[in-house]
Amino acid sequence: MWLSKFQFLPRPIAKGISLRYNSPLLVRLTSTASNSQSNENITTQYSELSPLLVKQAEKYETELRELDKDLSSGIHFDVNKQKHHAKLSALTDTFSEYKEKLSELKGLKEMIAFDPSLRVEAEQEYMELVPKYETTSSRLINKLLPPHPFAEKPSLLELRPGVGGIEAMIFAQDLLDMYIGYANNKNWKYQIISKNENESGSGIIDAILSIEEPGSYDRLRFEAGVHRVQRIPSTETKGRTHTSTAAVIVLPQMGDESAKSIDAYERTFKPGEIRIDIMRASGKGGQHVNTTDSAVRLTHIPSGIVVSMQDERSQHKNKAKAFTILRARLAEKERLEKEEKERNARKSQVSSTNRSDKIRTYNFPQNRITDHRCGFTLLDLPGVLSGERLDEVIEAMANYDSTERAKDLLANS
Amino acid sequence: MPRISPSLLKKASSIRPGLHLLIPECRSLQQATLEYKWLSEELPPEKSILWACLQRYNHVPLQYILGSQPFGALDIICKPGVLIPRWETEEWVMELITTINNSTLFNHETPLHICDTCTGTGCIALALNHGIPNSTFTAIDISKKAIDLVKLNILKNKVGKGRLIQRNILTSTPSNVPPLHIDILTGNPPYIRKRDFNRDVKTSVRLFEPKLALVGELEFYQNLVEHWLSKTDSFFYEIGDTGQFDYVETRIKSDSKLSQSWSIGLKYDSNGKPRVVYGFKNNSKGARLLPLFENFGTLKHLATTETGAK
Repeated sequence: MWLSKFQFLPRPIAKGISLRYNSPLLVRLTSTASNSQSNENITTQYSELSPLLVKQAEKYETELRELDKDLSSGIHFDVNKQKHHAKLSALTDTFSEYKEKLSELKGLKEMIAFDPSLRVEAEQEYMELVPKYETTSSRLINKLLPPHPFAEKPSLLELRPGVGGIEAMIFAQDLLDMYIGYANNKNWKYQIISKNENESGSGIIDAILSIEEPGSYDRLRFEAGVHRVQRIPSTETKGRTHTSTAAVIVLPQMGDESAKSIDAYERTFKPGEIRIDIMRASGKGGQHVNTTDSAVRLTHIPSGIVVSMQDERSQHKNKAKAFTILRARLAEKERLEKEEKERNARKSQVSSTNRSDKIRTYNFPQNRITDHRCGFTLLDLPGVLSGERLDEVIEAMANYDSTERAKDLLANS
Repeated sequence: MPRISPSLLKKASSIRPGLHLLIPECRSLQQATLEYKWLSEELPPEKSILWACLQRYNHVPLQYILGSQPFGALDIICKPGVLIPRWETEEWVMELITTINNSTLFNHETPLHICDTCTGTGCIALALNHGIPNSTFTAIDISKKAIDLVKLNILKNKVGKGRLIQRNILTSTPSNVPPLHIDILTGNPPYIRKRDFNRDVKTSVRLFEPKLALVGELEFYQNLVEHWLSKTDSFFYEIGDTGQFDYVETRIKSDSKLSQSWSIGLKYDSNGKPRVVYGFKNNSKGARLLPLFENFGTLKHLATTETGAK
């Protein structure tokens, strides 16, 4: 079973809900039930959802019933309503599955406590049911949480080496390969929008990878931050282990970015907001010159964001790409500002998932990957760097994130 | 042009073999690295990159080596003997497309007919036809090489069929030449003055691009005023300096009939050079186009009679 490969530093009580965050908030989220008083051999615990979340789920259930009534009485549904209906019924299905499993668990627990004749079988069944229950409950939590505003968007990944010179450039290249491998594994369409190699050709100075799959942003947004590598670089002659870093920036892609829609982008900005600079050549230009001067630089004056693009032979295409990146950066900036505001407003002390400096360590001598935000460790570096098992790291982070968001939600309500 | 230092060449050749050969054409290491990247990505597999670098050292245009140049959404095939599309042209053509497509005045129900003179690779005609829904085009060029290349480009870019005419527009009178009515007339005629050819033109252009498509005085602008204005509702002609604009402006202003019916403007490119002379007739269609192009360039002359009067 795949859970056995995990090494959660804090002991998990439900998938994605770990004891380390056993703050007063968590008490409100879950009430832990334990049956250790009946039998010391059974240590498996399960946690019920907080009454608040259950209430919310019940609210959706009633809403669905009303929608169903409308449907049977022949009221026409538009696309949005249909989507809403589908979402609600999926949620309600999970909720009833959750309730079913929960009552089964309760029944088994009673059996273990009061019916010695069936105890052994009941215990076994109980042990099998707990992980299944936990999957269902974490799925339900996920569905009850409001989705990320850009959850449905395709994504842009920007990679830059941090400290560590050429070794950091090589590591940035390794990360780029990892994300490409990940996209290949998931059968996602991707495109390297720009890539600047260093002079020796062994690493990158910067690169932008566009992953065109809608919803890839939701999955990859946890990758944003500083990634740290510890290994003996190929450039090292004395066999010492070095620590280097590379930064990953994940942006949501706003709208489609074909060259045709570039003008639509330009139009969404107010006149005077954008300054477009091109390579200024002396001489008369036009028919007099045939060099490919296609580099473009965009400056968004209100925010001071500057985007340069030179990878394409056509100035028009460089402009289109630069606008895509600019829009993504602006959207991300606005989202962060909004989040920051909300956070300050309630003066929450919840540790943020995206402000910590170093988010993950790739330790080669120990063949180890550790995500510092959720404390998740996996001992298969080649598997992760090829992109094959990156999903497990992301999954752990996604679970951690939904737990945190559930806490936020409850703290607010 | 500043001298290229030997140390720069040495540095370039140490990064990639052959990279130093690109420096004289590109002038900077950054630009040379970019060109090297394009060469290594797009060069046909049967050709070696070192050969390509040597070609560049001998001033052969990159577009002839790679055989193409992107132009808006299209990829235009380039061959020796036909002028390579320039970014300045791409810029104003794309702006022309956007301006027309953004307007609510044109619902694209009435087809627009485009006529492109001195079409060369066909880039202007094909890009306009591709970008403007419900449009048809005629492309005219004197050179057989150009017309053959336009055919290839139509096939490659899957653009709707247009009418191709091989003709010298300077010697044949366009009055009896189809199309009989044009909505948008475009052209990128040769505009480099003969006296400037050796001084202002880059070596690569001078040695490898056809003089036929480059060197011209005012004959095509004279031809525009005298023969084409009666057939079209609007025109967009690329220019190389203000001299050509001044000529068209003076000709229209000095003719009482033309100055009554034509409004003309001048557009600069984003490098700050005068690039397009354009105009609209004040008949029903031209008058609908005129307000759309408010931000395209600067109007220098407004038709003196009321809109709609003929």
